[in-house]
Amino acid sequence: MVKVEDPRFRHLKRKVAVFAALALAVVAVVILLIGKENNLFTKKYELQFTVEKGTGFARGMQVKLSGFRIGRVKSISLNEEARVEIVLLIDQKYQKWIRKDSTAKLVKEGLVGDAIIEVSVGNRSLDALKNKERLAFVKTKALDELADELAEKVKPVLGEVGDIIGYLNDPDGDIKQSMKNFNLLSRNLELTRKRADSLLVHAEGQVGSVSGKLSTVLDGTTATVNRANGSFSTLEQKLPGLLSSAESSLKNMEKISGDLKQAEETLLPKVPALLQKSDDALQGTNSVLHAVQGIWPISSRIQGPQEKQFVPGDSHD
Amino acid sequence: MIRETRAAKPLALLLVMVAACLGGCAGSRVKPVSQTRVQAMEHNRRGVEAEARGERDRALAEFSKALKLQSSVENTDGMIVALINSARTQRLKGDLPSARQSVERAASLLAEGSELASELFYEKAKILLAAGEIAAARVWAVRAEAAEKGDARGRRQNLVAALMLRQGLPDQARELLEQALQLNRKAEMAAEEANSLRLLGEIHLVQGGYDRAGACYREALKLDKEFGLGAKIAADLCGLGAVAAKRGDNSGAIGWYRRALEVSSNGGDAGSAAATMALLAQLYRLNGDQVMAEQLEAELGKIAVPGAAKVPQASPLTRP
Repeated sequence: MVKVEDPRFRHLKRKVAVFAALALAVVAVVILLIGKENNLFTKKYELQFTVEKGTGFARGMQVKLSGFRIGRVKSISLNEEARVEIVLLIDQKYQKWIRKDSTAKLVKEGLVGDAIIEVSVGNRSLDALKNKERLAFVKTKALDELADELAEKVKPVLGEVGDIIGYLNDPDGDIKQSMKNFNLLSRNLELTRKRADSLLVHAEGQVGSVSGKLSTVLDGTTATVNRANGSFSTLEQKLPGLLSSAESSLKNMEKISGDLKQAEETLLPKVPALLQKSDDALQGTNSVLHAVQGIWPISSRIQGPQEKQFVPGDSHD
Repeated sequence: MIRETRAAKPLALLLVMVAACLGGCAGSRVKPVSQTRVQAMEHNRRGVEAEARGERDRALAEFSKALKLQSSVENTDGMIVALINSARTQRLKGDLPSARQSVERAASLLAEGSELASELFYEKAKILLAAGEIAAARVWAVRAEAAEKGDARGRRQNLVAALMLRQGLPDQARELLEQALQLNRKAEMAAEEANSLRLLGEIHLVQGGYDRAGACYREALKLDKEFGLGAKIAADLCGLGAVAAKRGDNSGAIGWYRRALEVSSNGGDAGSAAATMALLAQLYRLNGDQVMAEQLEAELGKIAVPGAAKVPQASPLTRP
């Protein structure tokens, strides 16, 4: 038996094995790369919270902290109280930021962006939330709720605007009446201008006669001024004498005031001593009087102070 | 012999002088009084003088100072004196509630058998009389008379008699007044003697003894004139007017009342003047002089005197 052997099939088994191994290695590398890309190999922990409605939440939804993705929604389920339990899967390395006071809220990324869950950074003094612990959820207002709120606020403003427009349009209102009056005034202004023109023409004629009278008055004034001049010249002659008298009087007064001040300075310190002396003298006199009063027969003549002295109590009063 | 007599004269004179000096020194010394008490007595004296001048607010201020000083040395008698004087001044001022307070405070300080009891009871009776509590006033007036140990018994009896007269007991009042008159004359208390006479005049008037009433009023008038007491003079004149009116001598009565009106008006006693004017108007009307009556009533209308119904004499018996 002739055995024909193709050289391409030589070591075929070895070649297949190498090929298969290479293929498997590539698949493994791809899986590894994809897993790494999707954080499949990073360590994770779970946090959960409960909401009234599951609207807006979805499995796999991104969870962000300070704008960075830190995890995703792992599961959404209805509990026994018909409330929605949301379980988040958070990368372990972000655990240090999520503390007891951290909150989660459902927000939109931009006006028309995807909904995400935003977790706030917690207080460093508090403990970090551990696996399976509960996170506080803060309800944010939905767009329709915001719109309703805005509408409620705008409603009275719109009502007032309507009232103002109505007031402005009222034909018997102040604005319309003022406008009418203004129109009438502007029409009358033309007539007034014409009258003012004629008045000015008339006044021009009067100015001549008035200037004539004014010159007469001025003549009289000149005479008065002349008389005043005479008086002033008399006063001018007498004034120096008067001023010198006043000056000498002031000097005298100044001198008197100085003398008084000097006298006051000299006498004032003596006053208390004088008063003391007077007091002593009075006391001495009093003592002498008492002594004299005590001498017989004077003492028998002097009536001592009466303790039982009454206001006369007349029986007729 | 002559020489001995001449030498003995200066010796005897010297001995007499020495004896006289020793006698003077042997006299009892005045008990010293503390400066505080002297000051208090001085305030009390000033208060009495101020009251006599009619400056009642000033008098009360002085009595208050006296009381404060006497209290500071716990001199009870001095405190009582200041309080009695305060009460009397307050009564004369018309402030009866304060007068009552003062007299009650004085009574609370009064010791058993104190010589001030009579004066205090007397003032209390006067306050009660001013308040119109005649029965209570009489009780205290009687106590005042019983407690009196000095010359003021006649004065106390005058008050008791006046209260009896108010209570409608003229016979008992007259009996007491006759005693009071004697006591006042003996004690030379002419003002109280005049009071006794005026009250006796009132009693004789009400009992129809017009002559005796007139005599009493005249005598009282004479004494009151000596002291120049306008209110009492007016009362005496009104009494004489009432006597004349009771006798039917309306013209004579008008004369007396005219004089009383003159005294009251010029003495500044507007209340008494108004009351006398009203009596005069009645008399003029009784006398048929309608014009004069109306004129007086018109004048009376112009005088706005608060509580002007006070007749110069306390008793209404003097009214015609």
